[in-house]
Amino acid sequence: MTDQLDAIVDQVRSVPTDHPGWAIEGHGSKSFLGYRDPNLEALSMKSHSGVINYWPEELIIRARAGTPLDELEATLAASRQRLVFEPPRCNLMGTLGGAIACGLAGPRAPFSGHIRQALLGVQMLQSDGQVMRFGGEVVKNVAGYDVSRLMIGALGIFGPLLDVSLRVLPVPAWEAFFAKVADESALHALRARRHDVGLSGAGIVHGQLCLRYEGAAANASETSAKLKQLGYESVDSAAFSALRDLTFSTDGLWRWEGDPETPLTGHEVAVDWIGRLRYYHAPAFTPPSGKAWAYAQTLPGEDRLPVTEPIKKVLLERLKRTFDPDSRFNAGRMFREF
Amino acid sequence: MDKRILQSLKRLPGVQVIDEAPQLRAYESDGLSAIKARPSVVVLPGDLPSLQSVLAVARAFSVPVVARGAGTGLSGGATPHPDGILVSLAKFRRILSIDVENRRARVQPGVTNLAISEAVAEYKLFYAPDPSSQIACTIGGNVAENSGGVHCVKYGLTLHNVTGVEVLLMSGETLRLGYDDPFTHQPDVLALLHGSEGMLGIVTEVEVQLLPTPEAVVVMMSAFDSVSRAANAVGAIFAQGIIPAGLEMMDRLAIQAAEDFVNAGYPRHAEAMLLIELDGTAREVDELIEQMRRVLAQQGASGTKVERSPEGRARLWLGRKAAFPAVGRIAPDYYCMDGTIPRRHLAEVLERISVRSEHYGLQVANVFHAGDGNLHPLILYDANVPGQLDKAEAFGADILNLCIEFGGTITGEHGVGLEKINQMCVQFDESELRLFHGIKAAFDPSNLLNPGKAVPTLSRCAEFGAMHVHAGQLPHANLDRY
Repeated sequence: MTDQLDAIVDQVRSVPTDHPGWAIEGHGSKSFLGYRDPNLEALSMKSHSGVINYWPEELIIRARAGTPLDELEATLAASRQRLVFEPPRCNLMGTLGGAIACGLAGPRAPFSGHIRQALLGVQMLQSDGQVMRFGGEVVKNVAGYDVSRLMIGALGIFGPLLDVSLRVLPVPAWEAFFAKVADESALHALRARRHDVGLSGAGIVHGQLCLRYEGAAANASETSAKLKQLGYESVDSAAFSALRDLTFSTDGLWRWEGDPETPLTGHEVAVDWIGRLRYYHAPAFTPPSGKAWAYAQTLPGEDRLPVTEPIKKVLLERLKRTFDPDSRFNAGRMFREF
Repeated sequence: MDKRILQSLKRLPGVQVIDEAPQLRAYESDGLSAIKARPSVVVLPGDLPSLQSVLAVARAFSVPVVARGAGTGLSGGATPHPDGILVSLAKFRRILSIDVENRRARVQPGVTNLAISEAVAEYKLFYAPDPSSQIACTIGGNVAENSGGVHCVKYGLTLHNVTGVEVLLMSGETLRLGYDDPFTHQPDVLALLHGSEGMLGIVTEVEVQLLPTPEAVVVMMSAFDSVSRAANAVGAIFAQGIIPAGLEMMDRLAIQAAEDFVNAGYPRHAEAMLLIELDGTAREVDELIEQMRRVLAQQGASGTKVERSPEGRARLWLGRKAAFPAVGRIAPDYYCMDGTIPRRHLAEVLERISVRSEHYGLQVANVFHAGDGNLHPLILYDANVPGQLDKAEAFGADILNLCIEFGGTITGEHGVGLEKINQMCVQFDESELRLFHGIKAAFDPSNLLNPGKAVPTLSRCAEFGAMHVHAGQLPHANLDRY
């Protein structure tokens, strides 16, 4: 647990004018996202680590960007609390800053468990060494533009996050996992029940349709009885760890998001978000209609960049210039041009 | 205003134009009546193309544009620009679609907040954010202000309940965000638009998520013999892992004013009380009531009441909802503040406010969203007594500074608008304010959309203003404010 703020500020500020620019890094566990220009110099955030503020009764935690997700979650678990969203631990690693910047939220995302529901504030750095703070450690806050949440999924193009404040939640009194053999009709039937009280995850891993329920202990017996009737068996949490951490495959993956009613192709490596999010192996992939991009550095750079409407791209380019006028941070990571 | 602008606007098909002085007066202010400006012209476009044509005229003549919903905002965000066009979105009031299966509703920006919940009630669904003005305020305005409400302690703010937004940029281009693409792996621009106070774009369509009406709801009330005991009980409730649907606090002055006004059955001699709403499945709520009774007893609460019937619950809420007008009856004027602080500092900040109250010789009634740490201190004064207005303003500034000092914010849910623009200089430094201006310029390079609001220029940063209510003379005086 160290505060490396001054060292990072010095490092960023004291560069020659011909410096190639910075590639912001945490554990490097999600380097497969977007394009990493090999000419950039690494700016490591991982030593800027540790919880800054945590009062369990506030349901709010503030920690430095380099804090390992495992450490953060262990701190919360000691007070029977947890993150609102489920950031992946790719290769069993990952930092808080990286989780926000990559915008991956895990199986709970469609059930009010996205990063947007949790992020309250950030401290960030500009290329001249200026430290800025937006949002804070309160839930209700409408002073100034919501810069903090703009950082969700920004892949660091606006500059490095130094620390992050999050709303957290009590661990629910009850959590249970169920599974049965997955097929098109089972997935379809599940979609009709996607608003079940307590449903907090639903996907397919290793041919099994896997469900997670959680909430008040009072709702436990009724839910279990109903699922048993529907042919589900009680299982452990392994499938949901796999869905969160993408451990169901060691090869490069395509991630596809689209209409959840799209029929399965049979090539799905895994399915999450009740059918809205699907993973395919890189060679076998022909995208159904929807959005897709690659999770593999072996694929061409263009495929690893998200497609966006022209008007939104113009806005993002202007925002990039506002935050990072000389394009010092993560240039080319999200868009080839900036 | 240049006559050619009026002529151009009047030629636009599908656009109603108001330029007669008596009618313009209705648009002079929003809910912050202390700040008034007569708009040069008000236009009411009927659809997106006509709204686009209005913006084209504004661009051609470089005239500022201010968008307005129902005008219920409390910070002057919709105060007209004296040289500008005020665009009312009153004609955008259609509910476009209700998707019961996916629990979504797509609506035009002029639809009122409550109308959404009413339209979906038959499907046992509701739209969760419930600002006190929900009967009149519009969903477009809710997005612009990122409005809260009593239930956001459990269900989140507007931004947590909106799944898609279509905005018209000043350039005339439309931008659609969210909808079927809820979690893009790109910067969260949908979130950025929330609370942007009409500075970045004009909301032309909103898709909201709908929640199932809870199976069971109860309201509990507990009395405390000190403000700090009640404040500490708030923390203890969350520490137990309970997230109530609503958690409100009132102090002695507010309790007595409310009792005198509506006789809600509140503990008149208590120093403070908590009002707690719990919801969920019937079994879950039963469990929560028992947990809550234990916590409240441990925290020194007395006279705890539990109301399960709709009538009983409404009665307990009545005093809370009538608290602002009730306080308005005991003093000629009041200032309503809107700072937020971390909950753990509630007791200390309320104590500090009470010390300042004695210092200034002005009473304060506290009635607020304790679960969110969102304070609404009402500073009582009499504008007819020389010097009291100045004192009240200084006191208000002290309170907002206290909020910042304790790690909070100058506005939890009312927005900055014109009202708190000077206080922005206390909360943000120069580089942060400069960045806000840069964001504005990215969306609106010509600075024509609601210019001069929400973010102070760097040369500004001086005095401070607040919601000024004289003898209950605020616009929409018929609306509950809480």
